[in-house]
Amino acid sequence: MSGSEIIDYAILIPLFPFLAFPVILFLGRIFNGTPTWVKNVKEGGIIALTVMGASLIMALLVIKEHMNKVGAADVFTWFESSWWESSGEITTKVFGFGIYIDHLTVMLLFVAAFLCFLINIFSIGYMNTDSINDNRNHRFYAEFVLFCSGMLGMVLADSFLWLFIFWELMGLCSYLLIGFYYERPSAAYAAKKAFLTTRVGDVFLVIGLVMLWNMFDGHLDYAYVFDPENIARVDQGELQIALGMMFIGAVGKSAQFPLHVWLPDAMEGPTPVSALIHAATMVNAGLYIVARMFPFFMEAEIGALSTLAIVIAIIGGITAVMAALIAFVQMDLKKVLAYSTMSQLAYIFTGLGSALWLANNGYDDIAAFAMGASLFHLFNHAMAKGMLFMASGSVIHEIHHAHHEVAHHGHDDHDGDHHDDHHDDHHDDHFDAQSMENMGGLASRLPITATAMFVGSMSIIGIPLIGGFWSKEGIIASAWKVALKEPIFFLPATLILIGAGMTGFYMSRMWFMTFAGKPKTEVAEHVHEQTPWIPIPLVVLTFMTLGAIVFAGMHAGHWLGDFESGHYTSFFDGIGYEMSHVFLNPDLFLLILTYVAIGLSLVIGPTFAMALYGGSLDEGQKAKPWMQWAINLSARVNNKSKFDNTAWANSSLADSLHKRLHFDEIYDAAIMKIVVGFANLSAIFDSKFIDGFIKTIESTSQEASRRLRALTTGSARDYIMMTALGTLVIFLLLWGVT
Amino acid sequence: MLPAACDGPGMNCVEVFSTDFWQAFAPEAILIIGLLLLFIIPNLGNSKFRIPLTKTHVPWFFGGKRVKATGSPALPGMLATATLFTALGMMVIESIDGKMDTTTVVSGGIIIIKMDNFSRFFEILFLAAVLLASMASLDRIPAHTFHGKKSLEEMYDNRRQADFYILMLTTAIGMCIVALAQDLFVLFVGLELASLATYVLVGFHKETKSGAESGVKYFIVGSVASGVGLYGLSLLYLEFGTLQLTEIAANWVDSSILGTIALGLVLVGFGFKVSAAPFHFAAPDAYAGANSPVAGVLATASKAMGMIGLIRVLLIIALPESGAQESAIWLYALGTLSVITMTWGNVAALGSTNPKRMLAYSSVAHAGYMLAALTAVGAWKWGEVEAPSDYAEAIVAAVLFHLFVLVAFKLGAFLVLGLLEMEGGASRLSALSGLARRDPLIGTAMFIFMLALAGVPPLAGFVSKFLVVAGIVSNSVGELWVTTESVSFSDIHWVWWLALAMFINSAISVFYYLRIGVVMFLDVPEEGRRKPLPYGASIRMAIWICLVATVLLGLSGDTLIRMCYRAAESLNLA
Amino acid sequence: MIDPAWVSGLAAILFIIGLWGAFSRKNAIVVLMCIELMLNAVNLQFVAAATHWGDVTGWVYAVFAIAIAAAEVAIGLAIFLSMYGQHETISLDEVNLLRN
Repeated sequence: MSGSEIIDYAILIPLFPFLAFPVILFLGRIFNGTPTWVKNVKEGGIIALTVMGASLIMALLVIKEHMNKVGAADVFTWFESSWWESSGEITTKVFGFGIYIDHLTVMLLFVAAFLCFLINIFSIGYMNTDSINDNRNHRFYAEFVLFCSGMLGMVLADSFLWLFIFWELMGLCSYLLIGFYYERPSAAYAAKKAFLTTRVGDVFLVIGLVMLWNMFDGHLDYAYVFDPENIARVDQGELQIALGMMFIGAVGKSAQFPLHVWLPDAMEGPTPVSALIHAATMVNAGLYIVARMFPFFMEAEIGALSTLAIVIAIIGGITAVMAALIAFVQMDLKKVLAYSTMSQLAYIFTGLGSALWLANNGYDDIAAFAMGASLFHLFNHAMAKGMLFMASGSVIHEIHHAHHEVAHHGHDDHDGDHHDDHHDDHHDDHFDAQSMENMGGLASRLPITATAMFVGSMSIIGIPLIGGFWSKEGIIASAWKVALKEPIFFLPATLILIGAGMTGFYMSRMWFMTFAGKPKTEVAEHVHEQTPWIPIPLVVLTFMTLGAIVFAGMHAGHWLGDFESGHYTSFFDGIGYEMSHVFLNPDLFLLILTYVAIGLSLVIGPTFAMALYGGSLDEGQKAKPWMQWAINLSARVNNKSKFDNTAWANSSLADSLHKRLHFDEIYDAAIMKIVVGFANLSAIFDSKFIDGFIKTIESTSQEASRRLRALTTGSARDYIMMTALGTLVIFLLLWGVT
Repeated sequence: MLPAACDGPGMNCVEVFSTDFWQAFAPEAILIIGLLLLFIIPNLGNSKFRIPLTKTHVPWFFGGKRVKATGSPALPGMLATATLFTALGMMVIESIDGKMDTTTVVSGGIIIIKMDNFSRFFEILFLAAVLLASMASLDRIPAHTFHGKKSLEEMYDNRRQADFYILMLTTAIGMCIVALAQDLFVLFVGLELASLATYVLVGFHKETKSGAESGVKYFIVGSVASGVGLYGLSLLYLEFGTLQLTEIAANWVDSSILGTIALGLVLVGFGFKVSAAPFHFAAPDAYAGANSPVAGVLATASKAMGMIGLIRVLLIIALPESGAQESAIWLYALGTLSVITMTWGNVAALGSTNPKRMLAYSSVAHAGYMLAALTAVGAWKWGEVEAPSDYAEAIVAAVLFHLFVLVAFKLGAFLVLGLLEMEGGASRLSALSGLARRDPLIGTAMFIFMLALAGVPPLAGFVSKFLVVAGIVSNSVGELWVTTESVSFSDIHWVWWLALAMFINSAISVFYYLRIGVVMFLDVPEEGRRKPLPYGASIRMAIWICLVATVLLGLSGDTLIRMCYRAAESLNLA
Repeated sequence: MIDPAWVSGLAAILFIIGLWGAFSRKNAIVVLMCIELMLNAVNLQFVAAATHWGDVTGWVYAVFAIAIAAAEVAIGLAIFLSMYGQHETISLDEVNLLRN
């Protein structure tokens, strides 16, 4: 089914960035250091921006094209290859690359293209103003566009094979970008750790794909694989195992328990990388692949895939709470956000698990609702987390500059570009620009950033009417609905409820430690906002997050989950429906549930945070009004509360949390014992047996040669004797015949 | 009066010493004339001969103070080279397109020699080898023609120019006679002529200990072997009353005891020449003590001479009739001999540190391969194949091709060693160290020769080995694949295993050939050899010719292969 | 006339004596003599066969064989002379610089 004109060009969306990769790399190497390249092209940033902008526009056109359709997916195939058929069919599309567009694609396409574009703007402001990056930003932008092409390609692909190919491409770019500062051992280590951990998941993913390929007669394309008849023919148990394997791959990519260890370390990369890869796009790949499994669950035998759904939800639940716990004790701004990502993704997994269970057990309507809520949460989280990371980047950036002004008595700007000429940064002192211990009171000094983080945090916490609220409630509701039907679901359902409260606590803690109270160091006093590039995406995303209500009103949730429905024409009708649905739900159980969740996340969590970390700003400092009231509230709560957390802070639980619950230690020990032991064995085998074998051949042949040559004694008599002997031998052989 | 073999198209019977004879014998006649000239010309002088009992002195131009023009020490070399070149050219022109007439030379009912494709092929081989060696010797044993004080060695070299080239020509003539012979005794005379000259050539450098020693050893062992062989011939004569090849072939029966004994003894004689296994002991010593061009001639042309003998005796005389059910009587003997030979040669060469000895052992191994091929001829499934002569011809053609291309690369390798000898000896592997850096062309040429010896495509060595193996395998399988569904190892003749042995041995041999390459490319030149190699235009040209031949014959050796086939056909094996 | 068979027998005995002497004697000249012995055996054999078959070519072969033997001796002695000149010995056991 070829679509109309716009869809024909959908291939350009991933193609533009892919082609930009060698261009930026090449031009960067040639023009490295020249003024035009540095100032005007921002070392490739402008090229990347152009390309990402083009992709964004194309993506929007494609989405608009698709939105008018109510219906199933558009499938457009770009090239087919026919060399795989062993049964003689020529229409095999196993290696064809095609475009598959349905609601899921549309959402992720928008998220990916939009965020890639905005983060690109952010990077230009962040990377190019930090002189440690001088003359190597072209590498950054090249890897950046390559990554974007991978994400866009994955989202658009029409078969699991191409999904996997782009999955791996993103893994590669993630490694490159995390290890961008490769001269730092910690960065190199982190990059390796990320790559290897996701690799472990990828092994299982490949196994799952091969099983699928085997089950579906050599097809991995959605058109074939999602066909109800084909699904019905397949062995359901095997299907569950295959999908389970693919889920393990998703666990690795999305940093869920137990393959979550790489995400905190991945913060070694520059902040735009964290924003893009580890908040907004790559970690969503795992979610994407699980979401893509939805038709399987829908069409398979009733209850056949339930176990998998339960497992998905439980993993989600465990990770949600675990990550939140560790986030309690984090001092590093980015690490808090990393664990928050882990936790929120876990939410989505739980939601997906619920949706899949419902789909598999015949509750199609609720399944669509749950699916929609999960995907909407993905959307909200991506927007909010991207913004949060960028904002944190802004904070760190400004703290850094302030530190240099303070430490080097500032104003050594000799080339007139209003930036300090840093020549030997990051080497002299041990000032950690990312630690919240060095911040405080920044709300008045970084108004835009503070606002962005404020709104973003509220979205993550799930403050009513803002951002994530609409979707989080949906997830919690779905989980509990399933729990009522399937008792084992009480575990994940309870966990995410508790997690909601915990989210409230640690996100508030983060905000208040950074922006409220008095500045904790002199550096924090000198912070001020600088380049124009950084705030632009922050502002845009702030409005996006606030505008989630609009999407909710458009029934985004329902639309996302249910591929058949259209959207309401009246906006206010939609808003009204949603509001009533949430706050005044006819079902009593759900009503209580909603208010409990709101209470936990809105009231209890932040209150504790305010009690511990709240405080008013400096003398004479005033934040923008929409934040000032929060700061005043926090100051009052802080003054009034007698809550003392030193006992908690010194407990052994806190110690464990500082060590990230010992996961790293366990994994290290296991690897040392198993992998290194095996490697040593192989080395011994290689040197003793294989090398030994060759050496034996060598010495034997040399010895044989020496002995044989010794027969040539040099004495003519011996030679003649041998001749006579030979004569005798010949006679014997001649006679032996007759 | 004329024997029956004279009838037929393209067959030409001439009486010996008739005009037709001289026409056909022209190239060899040129060689003989050249030899005589070599005796006379350098000795032209102003001596006078006094008639006895008188006082008259008649100018007898032989001896005395040498004439300036002809007394130049460089003359013998030039003369010899020119003679060889002329003779070679005449033969090539005559036989390269295959349209030559077969000329049988008869004397009173006995066929003495026959010029046909087979003999012309071998003559070309011999003359090419000796010509290249002569060219190389122009530099290896140079004639010092500048005026002034000469050292003892230089004077030696000048004095023995004529000797050397006379011996070379004698060797060439002897080998040509071997190729042409149709009577076993004539073959033997030619063999002895060549051998005697070769003994002296091996011991030519009597100023060195190793030269003298090698000459002695080679002479003694060779004489014993040829004595044994001659005795075998005499027994053959006793058995058959004639030594004509055709007559003996016609009257041969496997069951005659005397014939079998004679066959064994003759095998010893030719086995020494070919350097087959228990008879090869003197070969490494001979090659090590002789100078390299001579060693090259020994390794290629002498071996080919021995092969002719073996082919004549084994394949023409002692082969069963086609249609018979037994295989040849000498099958097991030759098979065992070939396996021992090739293995001994390869294993011994593995550890050898003297490049000339290593090449000697390698030529022992190559002899083993060719003996294996000959064994395969004797293994026909007589009566089971349609056209047994086709199979036999294929193998014989492969052997001939292999002998010819050996001239190209084995002689070439020896010539490179000769170049090294010119600057101070080539008896240690370290003489080759760093050759590639000192002289890239020569180093590369040597490496290509080594690769060709190892049998690496697309050089000539690969083609020849491939043809031999293919011939053996197809002979052992015969037409089984036509008649039976599946062929198992028990159906195939055991000669197949010789092909496998040859295969494995080739693999072993790659080591010591490539070791030369390693030494040349990766080692540092030893002390006293840091300068570039000696200039030597003539020897370098000879090396170039060998190199070009190695490469060309590998890439497109069609002409040569066709010549080999024609030669094999003219043997009339079945 | 002697029965050629006896002459053949003599020739065989001479041949074996010569062969045995060739590999058991140290003195180079003696070895040369043994080689001559072998060649003489060959001559005798040719003659016996020629008589047996009544073929004159056998005699021709015998004469040629004598000539070849003579040439061989000449060359052999010359080579032994050069060996003596270098190694100062004609004992074949002591001349073994070239080996292995």
